[in-house]
Amino acid sequence: MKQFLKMAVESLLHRKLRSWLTMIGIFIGITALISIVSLGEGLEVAITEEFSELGNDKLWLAPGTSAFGASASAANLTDRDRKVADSVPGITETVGMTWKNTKIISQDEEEVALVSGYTLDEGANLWDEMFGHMLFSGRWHKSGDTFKAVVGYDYTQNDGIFERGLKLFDKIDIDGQSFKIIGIMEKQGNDQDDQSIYITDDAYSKVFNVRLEDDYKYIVAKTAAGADPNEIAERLKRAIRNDRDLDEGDEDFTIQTTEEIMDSFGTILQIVQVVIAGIAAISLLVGGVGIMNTMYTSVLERTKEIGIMKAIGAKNSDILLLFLIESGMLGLLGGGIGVITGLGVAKATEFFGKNVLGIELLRAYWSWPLILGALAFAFFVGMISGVFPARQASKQQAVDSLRYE
Amino acid sequence: MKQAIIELKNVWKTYEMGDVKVHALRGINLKVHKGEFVAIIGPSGSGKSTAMNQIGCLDIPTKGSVFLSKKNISTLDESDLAQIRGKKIGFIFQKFNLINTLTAKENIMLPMIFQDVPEDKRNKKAEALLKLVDLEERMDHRPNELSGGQQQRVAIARSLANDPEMILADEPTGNLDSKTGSSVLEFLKKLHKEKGTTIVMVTHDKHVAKQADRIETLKDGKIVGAKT
Repeated sequence: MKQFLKMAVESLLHRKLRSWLTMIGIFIGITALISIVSLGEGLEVAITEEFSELGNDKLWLAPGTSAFGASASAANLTDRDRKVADSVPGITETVGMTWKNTKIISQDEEEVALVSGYTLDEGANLWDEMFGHMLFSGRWHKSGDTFKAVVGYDYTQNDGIFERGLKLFDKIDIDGQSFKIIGIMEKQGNDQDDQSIYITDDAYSKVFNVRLEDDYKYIVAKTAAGADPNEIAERLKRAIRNDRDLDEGDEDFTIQTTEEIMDSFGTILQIVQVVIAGIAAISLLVGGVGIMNTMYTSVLERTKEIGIMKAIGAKNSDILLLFLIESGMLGLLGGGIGVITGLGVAKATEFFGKNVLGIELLRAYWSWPLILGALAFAFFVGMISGVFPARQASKQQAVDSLRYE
Repeated sequence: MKQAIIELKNVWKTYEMGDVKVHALRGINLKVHKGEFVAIIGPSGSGKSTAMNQIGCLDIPTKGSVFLSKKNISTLDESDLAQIRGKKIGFIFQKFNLINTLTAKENIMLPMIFQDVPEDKRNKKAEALLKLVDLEERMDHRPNELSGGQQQRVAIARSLANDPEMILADEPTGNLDSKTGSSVLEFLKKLHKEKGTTIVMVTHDKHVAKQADRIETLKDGKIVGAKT
């Protein structure tokens, strides 16, 4: 076996250019596969981390039947629902929030930004728990802070949102009302967070002339320590259903645990990954056909060699094995180079995302199962592609092959 | 009575070319005993190569039987034949037939690999054989780095790798100049005399054939005469 491996390597080296060209198909396929899976896994890890910072003990209550985008017929989520939630045993605190795109002005420069309002009352602790650690400087609101704002990281950068970056205690005009900046968020690495502005429910209602408590986009509820969030979620569901006089199954609201949200993100990511990996697999298939072609050529070229080996005692199985190892090696080598470049591409994307696009969610992630799996797969593709040519080689008659010139 | 290494009994080989049947061998009888040096001579088209294929167990007869060390090999399949060839017959070809991607030493080790000889034993044997053919210095050279005579010596060393019962040489001097050819022949003779190796040599050249103990002449697929 060891000797056969050595012979396969010698043979591949002997036809260097053709070996390289043959490997390209596998190499591209594995590069694509590895970089996509690596970035996908990295994104999943990043999202998981972000959600787990929010805490697994949270319930997310939203209007409509899907957490992503409320349906039109959905009843608003109001203070009444929040009170129901507060009364559910096992829920310790709640906070309501909503957001809106609006016009902002700093030093005569006008922009549009996402302004979020949240309830600053008993729920202030919960808000602080979830977002307190995300502050870069300054503080979150305390009671009595009406026209004060916490802004995302991009506002502090020159040419971030405005030409001149803002500092703590600078003024910013939101929809005609002047706000003082009291807190700056850390860089989160995604535009939505880094370009957000946060104000209190009080200010939100005054500026936009609406009652925040009549139309929450989310109510976040914290469950008691040690309690099972899923169980509390069921309880909350029942309580709101009863309050709204709805039958089971007719809910016009959605409750998700942090874990469920993470899972649904994970599922979407997986689907995307599978689709792209499928495209990469086509490249691998093409690579496999390339290997098959090369191996057929090689069998033909080496007819005489096969005859010689058979004359001096090679069994059919020896010839079969020899050619299979060779095609497997083509796959494995192509795969090996593909793994390295794939990780390189993923790393480069991460670097580009972070430094040029400012997206921190793009992270290259790698694991041994991913790398070994890719190598094994490449080897397998090579072997399978070699089966027919190798069988053809092994079945040649010594006496005919020897005569071949 | 001397032991027969190979025996052909009424061997026919017929090829079908479309509707035409070509009889390459027409009932050959031949016996080679242990320790003999036999030359098979004949003009081209006489069935020499076909006969060699039968003697070398590279092919099975259409009719008749071939016995190698008393075992009838006429009914064996390709893999079993390969196994027997590898163990009992050493081949020397006109065009040397070395594997170009392997070094001299690796070429000599190849028949042993197919017989599952352990690595250390293979190494020792290959080195000893290289010494025997006086090419120790060239063991790591590939065939294209060796002269014709050197390549044929490597091929001879390879044929001896599994201590075969018989060496089958097909025009061993055909691709060599006369001087190198003679030295290869001398070497085969020496092998025969000193080690008692059984040799069957196929050639069209009378002068080469004369070196053998016995000459069998083939014509039109039949053995037409023997001379000792």
